[in-house]
Amino acid sequence: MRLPCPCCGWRDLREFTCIGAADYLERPTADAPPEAWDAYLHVRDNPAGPARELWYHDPCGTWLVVERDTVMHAVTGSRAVEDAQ
Amino acid sequence: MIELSASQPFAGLHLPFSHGATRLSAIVPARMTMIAPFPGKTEALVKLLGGFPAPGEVFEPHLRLVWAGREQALAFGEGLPDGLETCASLNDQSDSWAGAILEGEDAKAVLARLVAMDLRALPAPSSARTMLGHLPLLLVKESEAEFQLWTYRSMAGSLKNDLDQAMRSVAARRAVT
Repeated sequence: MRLPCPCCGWRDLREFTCIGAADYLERPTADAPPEAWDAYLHVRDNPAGPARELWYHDPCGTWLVVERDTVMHAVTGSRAVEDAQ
Repeated sequence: MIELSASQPFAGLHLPFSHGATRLSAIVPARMTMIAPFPGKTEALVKLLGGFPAPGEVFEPHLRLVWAGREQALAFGEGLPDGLETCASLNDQSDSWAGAILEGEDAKAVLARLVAMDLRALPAPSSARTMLGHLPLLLVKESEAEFQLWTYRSMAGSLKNDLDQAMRSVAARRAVT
C-alpha cells in the first residue's frame, strides 16, 4: 500500500503511522457535555466504503487526512491537517 | 579536571571502505543548524536567508540549505545572518547527526535494497526524508552516482552495517553477471 504525503509525494506504507478515524480532529469544546466527550473518545463508525482517517508521515512530520475506501483499498486523496482545517 | 575530546560519529567503524563499484565514506561534521520558521515569519526569513527550501529542495544562496522535514531546513556551515533568531527557531544539531557519502555507479542499486523510494526519479541536487531499512534517513542526492546519507548519530553503526551488507550483495551479484 502506498499513500500520498502532501510534502513528499507517494510513499510506502512503512513510513506512515495510522492514528485512526479523522474524528479525532473534531475535539469538543471544554464545556461540552460528557456525552460529546464520550463520543469523541470512544464512539466510531465502522464504514464499509469511503473513510476519512488521520495518518502521520513519520519521516517528514506531516499530519494528514487520508481518504480511502475500506472495501476497494483505493486511496483517493490526502491533505495536510493544517490545510484541511 | 576531565578532559573531553571530540570523537567522530563513525569512529571505530572502519570508514571509508569499498565493495565493488561503491564506496562509503564519512562526512566530517561541520556546523549544522535546524531552521524552523515561526508562523507568519517566513517572508522575513526569506529576506534574511535569501530563500527557504520547499519540500525536497537543496540550494545555496549563502549557506547550503537542505529541506529536512515539514517547514524545516538544515543549514550547513557557519555564518547565519544576524536577526534570524527573531523569525525562526534555530537549533544547533552539529553533533547529533551522522553523515556518510555513498558513491559509485552502483550507489542507486545499493540504496534500492534499503530505501523504498525511486531514487532514479529524484532530481539532483534534492533531499528527501525517508527510511533506510529501519533507520530514519535524510537523503541528499548530489548526482546520479553520489548520495549523502544522514541519520541520527546514535544509529551510525546500524547505518554502516546495513550499507555494508547491501554493498557486498550488489558487488557479489555484479561479479557473477
